Amino acid sequence: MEKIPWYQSAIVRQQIVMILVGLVGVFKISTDVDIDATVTAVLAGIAAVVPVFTLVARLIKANPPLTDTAAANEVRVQEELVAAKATEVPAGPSNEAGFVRASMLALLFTFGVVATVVITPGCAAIGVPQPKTFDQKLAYGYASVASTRDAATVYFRGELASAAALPDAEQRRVKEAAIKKDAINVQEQADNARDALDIARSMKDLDMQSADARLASALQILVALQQYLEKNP
Amino acid sequence: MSVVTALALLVQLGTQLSELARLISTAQSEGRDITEEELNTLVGKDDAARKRLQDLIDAIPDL
Repeated sequence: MEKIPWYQSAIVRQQIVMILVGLVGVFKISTDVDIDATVTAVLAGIAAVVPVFTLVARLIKANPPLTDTAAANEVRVQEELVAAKATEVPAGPSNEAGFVRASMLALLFTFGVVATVVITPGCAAIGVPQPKTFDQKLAYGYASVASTRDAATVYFRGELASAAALPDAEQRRVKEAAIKKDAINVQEQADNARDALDIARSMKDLDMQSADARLASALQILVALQQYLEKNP
Repeated sequence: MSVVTALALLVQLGTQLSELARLISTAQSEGRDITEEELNTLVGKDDAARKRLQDLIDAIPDL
């Protein structure tokens, strides 16, 4: 039976992300002696341990299909892998339907952090103190814009690599043009959020109410950008 | 995109999150607010991130 390398497995990628997310929560929370935080740390610890077992099972144990549909898909995937090997066309995570690709996992992780830290009051759940003052919220805003750009850069780089693998030159050019247009749109929206943050910062000593409104506007732009990227994987 | 790149990004994001948490925690424990210098550092990081994304955009040929 044909197999794919471990790093091409969407399941393994998903589990690695889960471990990293869990570890972030455990290591940041455990510095505080607080009952609520301790309980949260225990839950985060469980959330980190479970994927480890899943990862080990995925790596060293057989994974027989559980349903007739999965069995049929298994046969189809094996046939596609054999065909891909014969034609030297890369085959990998796309054969595991239902799981997101590595680039989308990175985006989801980023926006999960952004949404948790900036928008919700749940910052303590991942060990980050909740922003209380205007400048602290401003700091979160700037960090979020930078993280969004970095995540988008990695995501679009992955999309370009995917486009480069297309056999048809015309299709490749069309896809690259679409990626460029998409990347420009993300850059412009991030610029809008950054501009709003800069304006809010410049207004804070003059009119705090207006500055607060600008800051809220910047965060709304970030949320809109998040939704845009999530709907265009 | 390789999984190595994705993991590098995740580690980077984790580091950014940790730095931000330390920044806020330090300010709160010292009973002060975020300083202008600290905000400028974050602005500089966004400038660098913007340049990375723009370089990628510029590298894509026009249709």
